[in-house]
Amino acid sequence: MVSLGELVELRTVVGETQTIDGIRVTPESQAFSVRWPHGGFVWHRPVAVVVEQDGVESRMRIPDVTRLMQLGLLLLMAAGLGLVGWSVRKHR
Amino acid sequence: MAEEESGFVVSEVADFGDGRDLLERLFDVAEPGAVFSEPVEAGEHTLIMASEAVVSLGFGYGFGAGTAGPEAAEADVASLEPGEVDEPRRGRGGGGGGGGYSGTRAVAVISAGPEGVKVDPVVDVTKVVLAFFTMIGGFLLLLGKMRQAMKG
Repeated sequence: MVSLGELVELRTVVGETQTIDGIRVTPESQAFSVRWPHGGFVWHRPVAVVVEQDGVESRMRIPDVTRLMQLGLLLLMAAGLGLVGWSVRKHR
Repeated sequence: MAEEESGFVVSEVADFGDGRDLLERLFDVAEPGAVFSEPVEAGEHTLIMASEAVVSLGFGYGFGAGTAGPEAAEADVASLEPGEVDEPRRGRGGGGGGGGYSGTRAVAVISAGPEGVKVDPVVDVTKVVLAFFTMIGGFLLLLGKMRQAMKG
């Protein structure tokens, strides 16, 4: 857990283990919270599930494909804008 | 298609204590179980929905009190009947309010079945398409400015 006193906190949250057909599934998530005197903000996202089957434990990540695609497009835009800005300065 | 629930919340806060209570409920979203649903059985499989949750809240209140100014006080004294005692006029008022936003978005479906546990991501096509058009818009805007700069 990372925290800046009581104002900002980033922590991993481990959920309740579910047993499904002999398979133990434990969800993990990450919660980022900001607290100020008259308000607050919480961003809570799933991160992984820990699966225990036949005595073997494995951690399966939960990819946020939508967010990754959004970030990819944003980076592409930033790279494109940087390239265009550079070519404009070069032309001058 | 991903399910999305979001909304704005507006509430009236009677006093600072109410505001604090509301704020504490906000942080319940950071507790375990807030982003993972209860298991749902579908045939041979058991499904758990994993979602992302974003919640924000702010509230404020104000309170003021005061007495009548010197001119008003003098007028009050001047208007007193014999034997009446002057009591300074006082006024006070207060109010408060709060508002917030909550949004959830499906991220993946975790399924457990005879073949084991699988994590299937959920793609929100609407958000991706919006991001794509934002990118195109940004490019077009900059291309337009670049043309202006080259002409100038």
